[in-house]
Amino acid sequence: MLHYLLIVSKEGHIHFSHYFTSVETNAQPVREAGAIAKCLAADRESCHFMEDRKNTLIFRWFGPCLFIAAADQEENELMVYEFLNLYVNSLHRYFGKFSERHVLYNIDRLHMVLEEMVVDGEIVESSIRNILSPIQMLDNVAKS
Amino acid sequence: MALRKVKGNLERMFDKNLTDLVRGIRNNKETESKYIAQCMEEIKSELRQDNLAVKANAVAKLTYLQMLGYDISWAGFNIIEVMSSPKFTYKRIGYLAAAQCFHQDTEVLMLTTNMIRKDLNSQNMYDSGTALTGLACFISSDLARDLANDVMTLLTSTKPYLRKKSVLLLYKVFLKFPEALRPAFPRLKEKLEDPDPGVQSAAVNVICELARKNPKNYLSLAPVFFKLMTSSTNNWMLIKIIKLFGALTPLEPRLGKKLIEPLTNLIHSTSAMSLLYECINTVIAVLISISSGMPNHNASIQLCVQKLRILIEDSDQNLKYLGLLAMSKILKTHPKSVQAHKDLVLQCLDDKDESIRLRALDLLYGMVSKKTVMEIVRRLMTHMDRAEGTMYRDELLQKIILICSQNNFQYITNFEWYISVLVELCGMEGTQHGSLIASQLMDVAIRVVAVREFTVGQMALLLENAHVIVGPAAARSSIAEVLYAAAWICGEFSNLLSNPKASLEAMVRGKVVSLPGHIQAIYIHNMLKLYACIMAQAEEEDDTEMIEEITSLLQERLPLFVSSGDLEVQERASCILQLVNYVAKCHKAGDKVGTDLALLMSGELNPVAPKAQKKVPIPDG
Repeated sequence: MLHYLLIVSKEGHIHFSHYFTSVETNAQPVREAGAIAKCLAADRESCHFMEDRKNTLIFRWFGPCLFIAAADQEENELMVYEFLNLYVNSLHRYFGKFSERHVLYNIDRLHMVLEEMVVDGEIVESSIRNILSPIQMLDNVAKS
Repeated sequence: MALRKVKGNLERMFDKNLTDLVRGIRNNKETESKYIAQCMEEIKSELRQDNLAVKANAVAKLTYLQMLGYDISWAGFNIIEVMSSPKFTYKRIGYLAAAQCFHQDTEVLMLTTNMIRKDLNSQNMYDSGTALTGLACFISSDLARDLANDVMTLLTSTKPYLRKKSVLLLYKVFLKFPEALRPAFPRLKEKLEDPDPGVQSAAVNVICELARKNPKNYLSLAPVFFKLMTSSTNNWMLIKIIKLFGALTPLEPRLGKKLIEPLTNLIHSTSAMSLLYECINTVIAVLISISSGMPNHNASIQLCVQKLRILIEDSDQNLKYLGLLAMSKILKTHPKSVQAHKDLVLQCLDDKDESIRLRALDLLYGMVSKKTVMEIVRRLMTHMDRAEGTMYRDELLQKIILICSQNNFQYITNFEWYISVLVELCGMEGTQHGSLIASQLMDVAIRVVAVREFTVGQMALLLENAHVIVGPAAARSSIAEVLYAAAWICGEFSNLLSNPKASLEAMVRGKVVSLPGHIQAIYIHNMLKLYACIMAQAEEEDDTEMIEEITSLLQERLPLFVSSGDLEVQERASCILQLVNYVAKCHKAGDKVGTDLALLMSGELNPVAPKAQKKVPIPDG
């Protein structure tokens, strides 16, 4: 089960966070800060899986942004790694050339894509076409 | 009236939307909190407006601010207002805010039940979909109880989009309201054979999670999953199914036997690393649960180890890490198969990545044997010299000692070598495991009589070089504990010392007062033991010069300790000072007290078993 996904800048500012299960809002910033510090400290060449209390952190750099996902320890780490890849690919398909600017100014779309892919911490849809179709439909309705 | 409306519209034009907010925060990096406080005020006034578009905009901004860490629980009611909007775009914003900000104990949730029910049963597929996704985040037990039926109805909806989401939401519903599981279960089972692959995958996910908690109940579904596993090509689903089998095999060994063949086929044929890793993990779990007497399973273990070797040799750090992780699982039950790859593991020790090195260390712990322990420890110590980062060196030190002291020193044949290793480890700065080294030294000195002389000699050297150990870095580390052991060993086995007087002098040196209290106390106590030993010998040889020397040495130095801040040190020092003064008086009067003193210290201490105290009969009364 996935717990949360963060997109973080090189300096450690959070651009985007999405929680798949509900967490006490007070505990959030502390936990996030700890996880971000650990992942930023790791070398780019080193292993992309880390342990953080009860969860495993899986992170990946895409350009200037660091994507961090937290999952249970029993979860297959390579699968979550592939999931991050899938997420970025869907965003590429949706926005055209996906860049950091898109992360900053299109947070609601990022949330929506994630909501289509993951429900209650489980990956529900892996086909990019199916993921993007509700969102594209929404765009068409908003335009007309 | 019209003017008010125009004025209102004008004001709305200057409202910030989410993009403006983000841009504003980025532009005001120095005065961020002030800017955000200002934005909060604007949001509060926007929320007071009647216009739902304005409110939705405000809620969207609030979601962003919550992400940055600001508390927005005061806006709960407003969020619900936006959620109840008939327009889909606003409703979506409301649900998103609720999903990210509400949790199961939020009080305003009680107001939402009917609204969510209406959304779930709505004709518009996207309305229901949003409600389902959002509900997964903030569902409470009350909501679960009230809405369980509605979610179950959606299971049979004509649209796969909704079936998919409702299947997954059911898991959350079960968690909060377990009574729903029994009636819903048959319908959930049907979804495993749903024509849409997305729904199938969702059902597999839910049953996997349920089975993790309670594998027994889902054993009957094994044949269905078997069929799915052999027929599906969706890697995501396969990984989940294989993980599920991994959870079920401990309960049903026959299932394990049937699984070996299809899993081995998958291992040979797949190109996806994640699937390969999952298969190997499950094969290991299966083989652990089956009795190890079957010969043909050796081939499967060999296959796994071979594939893991390929993973570890890969240049991708992630694969190395996972390969090492899986190897350590095999190690527990089939150590021989893993030992053949010792060279590879030792190679991983030199890797740049710390997490890989730590995994390799864990593996090494199980791979030692009598012949290899010396070589491995030697490698680890050269590693320690080169390593940076005190935490890692500390970890290494602890591992070295753990490896050597396994099973009551099962693998050590040469204890003199072990003592010299321990002494070398004392030279490491900044360690937190000083007491560990100390206890090892004492353990070996007490139990291994053959090397006692060597040990005592080494400890005397340590005492004389104590100033090297008690350096400025010592405050942060616990390396001084080693001196505790050194003093005690020298005192207890003083008859084996080659130069007891030098050791006594080392103990009374001035720098000793900077050591922690409990170590000083031990020093003083052992000073007495040494004193007695030297005294006995000197009296035999009628060496009055020596007697006078050591007596005056102690009389000179002990007052320093008597004025120490630590109570124990004070007490022992004054006790012993009195004793020494008394002995001096006796000597002036011409008496020989050497043998009497020695009697004080006689009697060998033996190690006591931890349960021994229980065997002592309780006295009556």
